[in-house]
Amino acid sequence: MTGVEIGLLAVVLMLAAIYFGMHIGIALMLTSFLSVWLLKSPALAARMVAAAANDSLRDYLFGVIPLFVLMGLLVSVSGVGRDTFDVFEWLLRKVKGGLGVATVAANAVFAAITGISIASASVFTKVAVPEMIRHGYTPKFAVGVVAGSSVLGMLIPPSLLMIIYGVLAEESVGRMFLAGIIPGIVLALAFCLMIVAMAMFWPSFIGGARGADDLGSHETWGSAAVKLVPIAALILLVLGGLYSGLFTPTEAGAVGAAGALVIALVRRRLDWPKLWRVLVETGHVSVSVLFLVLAASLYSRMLALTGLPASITEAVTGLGLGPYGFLFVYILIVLALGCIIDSVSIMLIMLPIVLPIARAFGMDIIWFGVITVVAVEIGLLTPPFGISVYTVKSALNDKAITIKEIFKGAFPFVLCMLGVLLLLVMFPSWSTWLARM
Amino acid sequence: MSYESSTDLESPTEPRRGPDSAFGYVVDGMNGLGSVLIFAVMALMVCDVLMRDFFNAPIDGVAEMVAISIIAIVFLQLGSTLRHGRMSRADLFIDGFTLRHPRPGNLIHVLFSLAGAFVCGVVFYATWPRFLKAWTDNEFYGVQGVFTMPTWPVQLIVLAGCAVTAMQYLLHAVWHLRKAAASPSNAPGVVR
Repeated sequence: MTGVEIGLLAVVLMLAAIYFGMHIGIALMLTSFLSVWLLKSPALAARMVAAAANDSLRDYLFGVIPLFVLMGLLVSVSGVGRDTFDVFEWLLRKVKGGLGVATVAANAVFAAITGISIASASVFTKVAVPEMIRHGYTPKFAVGVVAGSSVLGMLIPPSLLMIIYGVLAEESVGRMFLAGIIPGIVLALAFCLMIVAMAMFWPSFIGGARGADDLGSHETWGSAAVKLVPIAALILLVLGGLYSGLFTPTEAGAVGAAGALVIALVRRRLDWPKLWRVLVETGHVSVSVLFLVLAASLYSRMLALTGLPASITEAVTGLGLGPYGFLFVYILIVLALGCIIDSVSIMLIMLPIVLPIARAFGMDIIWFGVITVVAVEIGLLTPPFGISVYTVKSALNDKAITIKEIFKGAFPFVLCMLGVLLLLVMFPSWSTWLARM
Repeated sequence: MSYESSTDLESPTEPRRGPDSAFGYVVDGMNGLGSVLIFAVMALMVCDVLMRDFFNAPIDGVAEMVAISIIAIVFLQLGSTLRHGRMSRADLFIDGFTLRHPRPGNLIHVLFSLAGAFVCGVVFYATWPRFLKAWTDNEFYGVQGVFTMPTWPVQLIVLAGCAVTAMQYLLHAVWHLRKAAASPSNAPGVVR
């Protein structure tokens, strides 16, 4: 067998093993180990495994992953999510569908201090869903808004997916963060417009489309400002410090986590057992991501040995598809994978193969990254493996609202994301403008 | 099951349930060390930023220490991540299939667990000579004269992490094998 044939066989077997339920990291390592064995020698295969395990993660940059996860989880327990929602609820009390818009807006602001969508989904399920249902919104819409707008968490910096992309594409993480800002804001605005439009033209979907000015809150401009101080300070600390050059992305993660810890302590939201649970949870989330990264480093070295990426690049550029044809096929594959596996795995599996193609077409790699992240995030909301939807479901703890209802409620948001994705593909310049400044 | 299936951090703490075996204590103990290490990395970096920006006196070797800690964290917590069902996988096919056909479903689980144990074994086998070499040759990370630290402790952690994770995979395999032996090939009660 030639190298390319072995590589192709490895990818097919790996995808099959993953589909049937083998742990994704194990599937990546096993097929890579066996292919290198076949292609070269068992001794080299073992050496490459040892290098992946002992060297691939030995990079200061990977510190960002546990640190931003820790920050996201600390922020979730600190209660600043509720405060942000309270303020937007009060600001938008006269607007039709205002509570839905408030959820999106609060999510967008919250996204600027968290890099994982579960943090947003679980916080706002508890804060926003009961409030919306109390005001007569349909449960379907209430959960759909929360699931839909939780994707903003991984688009607006800091973002776990942007970090992973930056590592794989060898782009600066700081730049990838910048590239997510404008698309994130545009997506949030698109969500808001859609909610207001639905409130006007399709009230049966939303339910309580009347304003929420009867909420009887005693919010004033002063109290609202006070409530926004901690989150604004944290955003300023992390993003300000990062872009003023005071610290590196990894340090921004550490400083942000420490800041979130201080906020949670000052607000008395943290005791020892809770802090311990946050730390253990941080470990589990980051270790499963880092183990995937480790396994994927072996996989991409195996692919490079087989020469598969080069021959696929040749085949695709020779097909006469053109860059847009390639992008179309790529996005379809990512959306299909999004129905089966999680977002980090999709990027780790696809990018070693498609990045050389994108480079061969002379595409802007930062722009390609934004497109990848948005396409991958659609998978967070589509059945049957929409992680955000399942997070909302488990945080909700209400048997009356089924998984199916949440998927239905989130569907308009999927359409909205597809629209923004189309805009990104057609007009590349606006997404990378900040990153290229 | 995936890295994102969050546990509920908001609700009040449940009464602590300890691990149910000596091996469970080993897994949870290593996991605890990893959690402490994450916190230590955060504290170390914040100190470094403060020292550097306010006192113009950065701490030597922070970048190396953080880089090494990442490997240590992964292998300290890998066993626990597996034990608590948090390794990433696609449960689209396997969960429903195991429910409908318990025996073949559990046998697939056995096969996949053995694959996991095998991969951990390969990592262990491949890391062993590195550990010996690091031990005998006094290998170190960092730049001599500025900051150095021996490499063998990290490789020992990698070895220990692999051993514990392989053991956990074998326990999974045994558990599913028992389930397979105890169940009929089709579940008569479950109709989909």
